[in-house]
Amino acid sequence: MNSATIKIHEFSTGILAEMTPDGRWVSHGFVGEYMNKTVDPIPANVESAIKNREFAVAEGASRDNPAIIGREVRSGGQDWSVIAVVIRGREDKGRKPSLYRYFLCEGAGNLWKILAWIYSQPQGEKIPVFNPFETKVVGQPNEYQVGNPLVVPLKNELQYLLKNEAPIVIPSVQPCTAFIVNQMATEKAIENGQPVAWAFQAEALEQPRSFLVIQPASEKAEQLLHRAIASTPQYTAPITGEYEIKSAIKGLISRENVKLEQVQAIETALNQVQDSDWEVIFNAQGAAQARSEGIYSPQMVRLLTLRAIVLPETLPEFLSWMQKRGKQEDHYQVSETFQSEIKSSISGIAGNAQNFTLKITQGVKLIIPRLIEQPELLENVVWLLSFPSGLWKHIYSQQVVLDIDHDLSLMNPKVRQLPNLHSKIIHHEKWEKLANDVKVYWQDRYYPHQTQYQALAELFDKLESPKIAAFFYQIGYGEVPKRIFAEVSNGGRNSNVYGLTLKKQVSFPESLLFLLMELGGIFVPLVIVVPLILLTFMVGLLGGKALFEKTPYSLETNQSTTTSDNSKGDSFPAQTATQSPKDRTTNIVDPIPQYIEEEALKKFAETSRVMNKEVVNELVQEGLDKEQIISELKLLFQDRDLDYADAIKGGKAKETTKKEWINAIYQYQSKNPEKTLPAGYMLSEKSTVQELRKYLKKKLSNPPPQNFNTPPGGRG
Amino acid sequence: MLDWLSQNKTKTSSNSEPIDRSAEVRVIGDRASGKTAYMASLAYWPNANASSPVQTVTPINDDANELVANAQNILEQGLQLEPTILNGSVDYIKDYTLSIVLKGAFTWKTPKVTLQPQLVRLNISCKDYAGEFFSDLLHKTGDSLLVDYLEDCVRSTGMMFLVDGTTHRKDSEYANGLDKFLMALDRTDISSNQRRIAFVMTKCEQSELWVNRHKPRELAQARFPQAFRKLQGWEQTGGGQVDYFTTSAFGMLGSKYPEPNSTRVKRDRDGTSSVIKDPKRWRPFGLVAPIYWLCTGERHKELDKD
Repeated sequence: MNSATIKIHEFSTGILAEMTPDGRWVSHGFVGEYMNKTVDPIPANVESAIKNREFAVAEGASRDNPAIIGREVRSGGQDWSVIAVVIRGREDKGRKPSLYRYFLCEGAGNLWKILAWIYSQPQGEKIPVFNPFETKVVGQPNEYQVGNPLVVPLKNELQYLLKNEAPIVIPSVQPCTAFIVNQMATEKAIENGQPVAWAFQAEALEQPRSFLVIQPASEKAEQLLHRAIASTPQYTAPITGEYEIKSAIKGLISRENVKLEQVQAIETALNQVQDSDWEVIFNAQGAAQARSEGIYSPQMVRLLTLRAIVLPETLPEFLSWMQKRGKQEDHYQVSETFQSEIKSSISGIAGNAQNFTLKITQGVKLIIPRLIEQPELLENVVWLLSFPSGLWKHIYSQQVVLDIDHDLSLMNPKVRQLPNLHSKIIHHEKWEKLANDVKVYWQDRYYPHQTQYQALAELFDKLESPKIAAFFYQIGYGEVPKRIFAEVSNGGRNSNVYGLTLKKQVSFPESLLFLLMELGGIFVPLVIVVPLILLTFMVGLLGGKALFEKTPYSLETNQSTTTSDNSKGDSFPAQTATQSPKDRTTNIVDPIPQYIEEEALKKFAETSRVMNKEVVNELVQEGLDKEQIISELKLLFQDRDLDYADAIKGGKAKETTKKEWINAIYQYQSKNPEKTLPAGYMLSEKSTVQELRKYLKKKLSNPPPQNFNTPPGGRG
Repeated sequence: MLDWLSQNKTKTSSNSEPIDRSAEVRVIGDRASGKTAYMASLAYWPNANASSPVQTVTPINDDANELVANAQNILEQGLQLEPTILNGSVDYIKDYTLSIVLKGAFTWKTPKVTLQPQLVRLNISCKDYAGEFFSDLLHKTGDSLLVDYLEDCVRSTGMMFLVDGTTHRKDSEYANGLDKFLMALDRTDISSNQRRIAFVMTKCEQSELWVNRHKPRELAQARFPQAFRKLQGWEQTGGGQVDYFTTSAFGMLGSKYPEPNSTRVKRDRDGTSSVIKDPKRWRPFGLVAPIYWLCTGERHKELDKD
């Protein structure tokens, strides 16, 4: 025996109703919430399924005879069995709205119990339908003593139908009951491993594909349903939380300022929804049409930006779409604003939006090697990874560029021998291929350059990562532009990066010089070389100064004349030669511009980390005294009040401490304006770090110091 | 936005890419004023006239596709659309995204000497608010949903205020509603953006409206004097721009002796309800003109003549 009392809750579409003299009623419009409720609030997953139109009959399709829709709502929390009875009501304006009365019972597998109750009503034949005047009280559900489930053997015709793929449409001429439809759908649900979903006496349904069994109300309805099913490609089980996701996307794309809860909804869904379902959701909002029709409305630009975040593999497609627009360019601004809005919301999400970060990181890692196949994307990849407040730019500069630098360092055969070194990015498929392909340049330094890497060289050049750019220039062009060479070669002395020897680009006058040198023999007198250099300087104009300082010949000359002057050789020749104390004084009084300070504040954690780890601790490991290092650093920064202990707390340091340090670093870097732009921050193993280390080491290893007025400097 | 065409003047006809312009529109109006029928008829764009400046109307998102399906399955079958459900939060409202391509840049600002007139693409997304929103404006204050809707309106680039042209007896209600709406808008908006409101009279296939269809401003002033004054006042005090339009979702039959292509279901103080009489000859009137104006700030003479 299976006899127990069950509770059947209910609620109905909310309308303003008026009783008419004939005892019927008309609607004066919707009230925007449910009425005649026995449960409040409505279970969230049930409400979500309703809003996702999972119970909806297509507009104009509900008849005076009620349609009955049964579904198990299983996603998100408590399972419910829900039945909707739908009729067409009357409205004061003469229209006929579809009105729903929902019955629900806790737990899956209870649809038959609700049906049993519905059909056990004392009104005789009539089942309970929407009635605005049948007032219900919250907490007082309908109660029903259920008997044994009624299982009838299915007729052969119906049994045969069950062999078809879902959704099964029962021929309208076939006599049938709601119980039979439920029984068939239950069998199909077990077979397919899906929640039970059926429609009985349906005219047309908004989502016919999401049902297992449908019993049409008429022959015409049957044809319509078959047509609707044929036009949708496959069974689409409702996506968990689809409605919330769609609403979040609608909200995010329809306004400039994003709402935190909508970003949060996407963050949560990133973990739960499959990529193929995301694609369906984005296309429903117009992503496919926007691409094929070339529609660049702000909404569509935000939609495709969001799609590129959520589905990183669509990032190349997004960039290519962005650049196809032609002359109008305001869509870039729309995407930038959207990214920066998402970026600021992400910081407000608990756990720092790990899923977002992961997806964006995947995007960055994917798009860079993609330039090998699609160099035409270069300009847009530069845009993506460089505009301030960009999402992808943030991840690139905070993490990926460091990973690339790290992994390229590991490519150096000398380093590769060391144990416990793990690559950070090369395990990605595309990077792995890239790594394998470029390995040969370490093995054979005369291996010909390959033009496919040129886009990468230009990318890292434009992203101001000179070391990585130099590497790709070398393998992509066979030589490195002078400007980059000067930046990475540490004053021309060190002509290799990542253990790969660099060849500097030579201008035409320089090639002439080469030729002359070769013609004249190995040694050419200085009296000839110097005028020639001057001539080159005049002719070359561009980069002439760099040439003077950095060409191998001038260096040879320099070295041959200054080999005994170590101190000079270790500091900056350019600077000692050109900068007067007066110049420096002028630099020091320049206040730090606000935008630079803001950018530096964002990077302070990194500044703090490298200062502590790569400057101070590294020197401590070399046997120098920590206190002395810090004191000397403050001296160099010309501010004895700098709080080092607080600064190394990184992001958690006091705001004033951060600003004092940023200002000090900025002023220090400003002392070399002709070499680099002062930035107020320093990054791992960049020139500032290297120069600081070198200066401090020299200073503290050889006390007392000589007259060393000109401290080194460099950008981040 | 106003000078977008002049900004783009340098783009010559040799460039075949359409100039595009986008607008986020909110469709507001009393219950049964014809908002959804307007949108459905626009999205479906039946029996396009070859001489119309409108080249194509393409639904972009699923909401717009559903609208087209409703136009086919309901309106074209001579049936009435159901009332739009009042559906909680603003992000749950149907947002119809359409792309409308016009054959040429029909504006005095664009040089006529061009051999191939530049296509103009209007990308619009229109939120179709349930009519209850407008009545709630009159009767509710401080309701959280209402506040939500108003904030959503503030973000839009333009609004279409639809009135059933035959409801002149409700003029004072509309004026009152507009008053509350404009005031609430002003209080909600901190950006002091200039916005456009198109006052759109629907159901102009009705003969008393049809004869004056080419004088929309005068028609609005004559039939809805109080609402008209309200809007003029708003415009004069710098609230934004207002213009007036006549439209018909169903259009007319015949040209010499025209009659409405509609069968009346109900007519009273609350307006007129109709269904399409001859679906095969269904050609709406004036639907793109307000959209063009909302997008560009200029009237399109050809569209007005449509």
